[in-house]
Amino acid sequence: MKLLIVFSASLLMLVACGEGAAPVEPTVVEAFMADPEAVDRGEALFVGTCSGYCHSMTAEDTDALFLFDCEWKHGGSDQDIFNTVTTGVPNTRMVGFGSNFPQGDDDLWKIIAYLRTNQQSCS
Amino acid sequence: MLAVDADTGEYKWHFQFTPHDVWDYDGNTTIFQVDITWEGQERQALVQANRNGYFYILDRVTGEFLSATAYVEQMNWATIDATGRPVPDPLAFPQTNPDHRICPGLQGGMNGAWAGALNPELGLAFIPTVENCMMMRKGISVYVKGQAYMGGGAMETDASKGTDYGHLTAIDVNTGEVRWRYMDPEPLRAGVVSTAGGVVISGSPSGKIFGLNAATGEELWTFNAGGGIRSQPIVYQVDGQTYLAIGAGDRSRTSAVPQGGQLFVFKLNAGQF
Repeated sequence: MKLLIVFSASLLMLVACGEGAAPVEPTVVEAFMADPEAVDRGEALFVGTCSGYCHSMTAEDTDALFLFDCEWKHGGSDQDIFNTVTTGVPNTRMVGFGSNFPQGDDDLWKIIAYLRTNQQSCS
Repeated sequence: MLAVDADTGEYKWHFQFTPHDVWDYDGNTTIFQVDITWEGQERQALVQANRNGYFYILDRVTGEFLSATAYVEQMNWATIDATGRPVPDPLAFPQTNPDHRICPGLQGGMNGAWAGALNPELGLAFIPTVENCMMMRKGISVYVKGQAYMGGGAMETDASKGTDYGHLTAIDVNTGEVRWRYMDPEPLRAGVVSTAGGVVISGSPSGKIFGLNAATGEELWTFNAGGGIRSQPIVYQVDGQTYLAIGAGDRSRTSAVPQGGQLFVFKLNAGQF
């Protein structure tokens, strides 16, 4: 009886460690975060489009939010950020970028990957 | 610079200070019309301390370029050739990973958000000057109707280290030469007023209102306004009495200086201003 319990526990541990389980797919942002070229493109897009007049690279007291800290006024998930950039924020300078990115949605996901890669510690 | 006939709108001449401007050197600073003696000849000129750091003298009738001299102490983005066209340093173009300080920086040597002043009797232009070199990055710009199309931006370089500074500079409008400088620990971002009595008045971001001898730059008077000066001083008369009005209350890098929002008015003694 004791042997049977030990065998069952070992089987459960194997399953829990992933052997035989379906691998977890990285999100599109996680995949881009692991790709230096994608992060570089996200940075170039951020520098050329977002930080010129609005979102500063350093924390400053302006109406355009600092995007490298841990506070997200309009939702902080990848999808929230995607939606905010795509549709804009009414009654602010933040217009909706829609589908205007040169390489489509991937460009916006790469910007988010760049922000995540350079995000300040949230602890 | 574009000259048109005021009656008809007909094009007369133009002069481009900064072709292919990737530094944000808008040519929108104060333009003074002055009559000068240039190489022994009387000229109807216009002069401008351009945002690109050069003080230009042009013939305002023909648009002919006469001279350009650096009025900033730190200048490295370009030299100016005999025709007035800049010859940029290849290192001074924005880079993906910049490592080169570009002078002047994004705000220019003088910015069009505030006005310089002129004393025609002395032949001096008074320029509130920014010494704030910056590294500049280039990026990828996305076009959206109604949104700024930037393509890059400047990085706070000197300002982040507190090594930016400023000065009120008097420039001879006949030659473009600097006559004197009144130094300040911070870039000057306020307007200037010049009185017929030979006094120049402006203010600093740390809240100091100052009056200077226009001919020499000697400090005649200061007042601590308790808030940064980023306004345009004016001098005016009511019932024969002369007054100076100047607003205070802008931010400063000196955290001890609060934002205020006060208008200071001073009664000026006859004969002194």
